[in-house]
Amino acid sequence: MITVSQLGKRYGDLVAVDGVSFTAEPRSIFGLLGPNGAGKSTTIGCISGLLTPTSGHISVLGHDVVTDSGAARRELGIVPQDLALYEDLNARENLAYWGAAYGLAGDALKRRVLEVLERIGLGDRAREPVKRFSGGMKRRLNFGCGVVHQPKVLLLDEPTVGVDPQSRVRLLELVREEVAAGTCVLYTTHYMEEAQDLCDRIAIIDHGKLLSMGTLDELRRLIGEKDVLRLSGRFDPQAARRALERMDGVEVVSADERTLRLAVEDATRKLAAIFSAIEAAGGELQETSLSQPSLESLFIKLTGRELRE
Amino acid sequence: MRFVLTSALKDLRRRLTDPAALLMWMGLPILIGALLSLIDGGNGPAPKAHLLIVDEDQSLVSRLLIGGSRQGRLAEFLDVEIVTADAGRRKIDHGDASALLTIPKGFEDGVLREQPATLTLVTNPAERILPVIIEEGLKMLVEAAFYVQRLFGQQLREIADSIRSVRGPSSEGVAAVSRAFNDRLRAVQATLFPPVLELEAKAAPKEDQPNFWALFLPGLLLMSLMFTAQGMSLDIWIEKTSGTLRRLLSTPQRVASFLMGKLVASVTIMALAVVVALGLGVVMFGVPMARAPLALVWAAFAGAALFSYLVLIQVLSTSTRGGQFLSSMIVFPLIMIGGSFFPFEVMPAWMARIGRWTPNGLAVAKIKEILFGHPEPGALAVAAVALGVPAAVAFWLAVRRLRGQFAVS
Repeated sequence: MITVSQLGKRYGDLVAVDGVSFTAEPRSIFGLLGPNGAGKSTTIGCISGLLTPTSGHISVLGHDVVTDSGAARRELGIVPQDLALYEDLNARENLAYWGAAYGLAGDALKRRVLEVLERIGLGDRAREPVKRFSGGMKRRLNFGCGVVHQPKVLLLDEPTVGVDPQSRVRLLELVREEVAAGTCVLYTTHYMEEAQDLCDRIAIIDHGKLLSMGTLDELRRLIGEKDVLRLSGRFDPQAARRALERMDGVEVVSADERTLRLAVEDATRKLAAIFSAIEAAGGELQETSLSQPSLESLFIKLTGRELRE
Repeated sequence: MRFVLTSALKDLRRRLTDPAALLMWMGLPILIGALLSLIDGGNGPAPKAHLLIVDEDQSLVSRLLIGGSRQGRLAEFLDVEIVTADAGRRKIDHGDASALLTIPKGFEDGVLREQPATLTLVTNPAERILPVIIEEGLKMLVEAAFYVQRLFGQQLREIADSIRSVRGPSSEGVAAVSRAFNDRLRAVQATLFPPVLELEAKAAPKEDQPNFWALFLPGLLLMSLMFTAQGMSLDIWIEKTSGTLRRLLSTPQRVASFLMGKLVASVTIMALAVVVALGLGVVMFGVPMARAPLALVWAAFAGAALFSYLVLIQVLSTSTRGGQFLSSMIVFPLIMIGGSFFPFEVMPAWMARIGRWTPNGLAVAKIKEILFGHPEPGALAVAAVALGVPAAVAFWLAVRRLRGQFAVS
């Protein structure tokens, strides 16, 4: 179990993480969803002991990561966002080294290395230098090095970035297998679909602040049954906002001279009225898109911008 | 301790995947040594100074001077050639001789009649040592001539006058000169035979005379250690850029163990290089076998110290390129001044004095003592402290830096 309480991390004047609190439970995946630079990797860095928090407390299975860092680290496995492998060694040697770094030795280490090689599908390439591997193979080995010592808590920092679809599917299966074995997984991503498919609980984070947290259903309920309507064109933001907010069931999420984002109940029935109101307010419509409630729409509602912006 | 060995094995395995780098670290000093050997002539005969002499006087004294330079110890160092003034000037201008000596007309009169006389010596600026040998040899001859003139001036004048006379020396004249020599020698024999001062000559204990390779061996060894230490210290940047250092920091292992593993791997590679070099030294160049083990231990210790200094330089740098540049800026001057490129014996005294107190220079001096001299345990201990204490501090600072800003910046 990971408990993060009022975590803060500053670099001079820059606040990277600001008062983040959450709890990740065993046998479950806790997702940290946010755009690049939101503070996800900094949070992972503080949990893994790589960074020292400026404020707040973190414990891993009851061990404080600052005052009892050795014990906390023994329970942790980490799969970093960037590959962390010795390219001039082979897969077996990489796994053996990282296993030894967590205290495995002798027959136990050898047995575990063979198990992991089979699990990540590299059993037949075990003695080949890693530099000859494809990107997907390296990603799987990177994952294997994080779980070789069978950690109780696993930190996965955007493990599928830049991975081909086939390897991504395999990696997500591996994560589910870890959870099934009782591991507590903290998973950061900026892929909304991954978070929706994989995570039991999700926290949305942006600019270092935790904006919302809950199960997927709980988060969906936050946005209600409203659809998300995105309008592009030329607008007078103030006039458009005044015109639209007079309508029932229409909420203006964000408005600028090029884009309007609205949360609308039963949007298909109200489209004509919305277009008229915008034209009456001096706006000129060029493009319209309508989407069902999702994490993306929740993120837009919470931050006023899309996840990938 | 187990993780130190695991880390060391990991680094050794990684090094073995790049044998070209290993060969370069070990082979470059050997190549440089071979080139120096070719320049110097290695084990060939001692070099001779080529001395050109222009004898404008053509006198008894000038011939005595030339004869003296072709006899005894001077003949071992001097290769004398009598030339005309023009030929002598031409040869020295082309750099075909070490020096040109001109014996001017009237030199004999000057010597025998106590008048001013000047010998002119022109040396070849392209040579450093051989012209000095000639100059010193001539000084000895001039000094000897002064004492001969003091003792036998009158008799020499009579011989010279009689040679010049049309009739040549008379029997009475030769007898008179001989008697005068005899009287003068009898007068001084109380002092000379036996001499008032008794000089007891004792030969210094003969040490094994190191040959060229043996003289250069310690410096070349240290050069190899410096290159290895620099190469191995740069590995810390590969660990950083490949993300393995960050991953390591999230494990329960201590950074000190990780760095100690690198140090052990470095020292293992260095020790292998030293064993090969000393083995060659023993088999081919007469390095005493019995002294090799202590030399190996000292070289390994010095290598560990050099690695610690250089790894601190790496972690204080802000980029791979910066670390490479900064370490090269330090390593190469140290190699030049620390007795690796040029032995201390051929350096100006002030430079050799500084060089002996550089880390590698200190190590070179002690290896030389261990292999060819009489190393004093006390002096060796002082040198070990002088190398080891700063190295331990550098290692500790490097660990702190690795744990802090270096890994996450």
